[in-house]
Amino acid sequence: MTNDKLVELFAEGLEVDAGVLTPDTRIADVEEWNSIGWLTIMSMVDEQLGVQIESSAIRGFLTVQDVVDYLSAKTSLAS
Amino acid sequence: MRNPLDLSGKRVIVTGASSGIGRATAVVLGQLGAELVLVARRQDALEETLGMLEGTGHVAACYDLTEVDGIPAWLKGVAAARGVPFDGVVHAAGLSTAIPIRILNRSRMEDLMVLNVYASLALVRGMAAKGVGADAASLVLVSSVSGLAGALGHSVYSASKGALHAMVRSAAKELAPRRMRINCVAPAWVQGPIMDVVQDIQGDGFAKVAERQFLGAISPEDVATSAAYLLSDATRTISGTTLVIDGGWTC
Repeated sequence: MTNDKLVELFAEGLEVDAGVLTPDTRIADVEEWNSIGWLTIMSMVDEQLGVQIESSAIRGFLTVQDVVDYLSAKTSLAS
Repeated sequence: MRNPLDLSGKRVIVTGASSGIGRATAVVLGQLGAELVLVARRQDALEETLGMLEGTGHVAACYDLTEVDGIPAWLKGVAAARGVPFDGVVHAAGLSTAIPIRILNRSRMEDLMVLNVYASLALVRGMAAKGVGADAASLVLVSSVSGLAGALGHSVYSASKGALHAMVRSAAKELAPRRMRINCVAPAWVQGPIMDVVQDIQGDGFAKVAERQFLGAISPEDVATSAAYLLSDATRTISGTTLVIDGGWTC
């Protein structure tokens, strides 16, 4: 999955309009990216990419790009 | 000296005995003298639990409880191999996945309902069969306060655990002629990987939970001890109830 597709997936999970999320967007600035938002994204990523986001990593994510980088590393390891 | 909590000589099945509450239950029941059959999918994890137990006569019996229709016959076979019926079961196996409403689908719902509800009912059926469950046997289902009070992302999980609270009331009546008993233990936030995830996501450690769970974190051993209580003769007239172990969560 490309980086753009990942960001689209996040937007779909959070139910925010396309364009609200960019790689530089700070997670803390997205109201919908709360506990339920994280649970949704974790489930969708698990189901669609077969990758688990370790909850212990979540506090280290500041921007959308951080999550993309994390998942890219995980998916390349998995493939 | 008489100890009403003594489980010496009682033969008990513990599901989910490979980790968490199930493993802690096995350890506590072993300390109280019970002879155990440990159930989970993974033999290696069960062997590890076996190595933690006091007493003798404990065995591991691998089974995947999502194979619901096979549970009664499998249980019958386990009892036949032992040559004696069981005095109790603690069903600690279960799924506690959080599923936000916006991504609900049948597959995700089924995963939770199969293990949490259908497997529980199949175990009850299995234990109720003659030669499998002894007269006056005690059945203990590990449910959750999510069946009594709401939590974010827990609609399906709450439905599955609330179903158990309702189920034991009817089952208690049907099992009563043989003095068999069935009850739930309903813990709130228990120390372990699931609570770790919640705390990681919320980023506030135990603070948010502690606002309501004011007696502090609940250990798997706390739940295990309550299950042991319900297995014991001390509770021979208690059936169809849910024992809440919540540190104040639902007050």
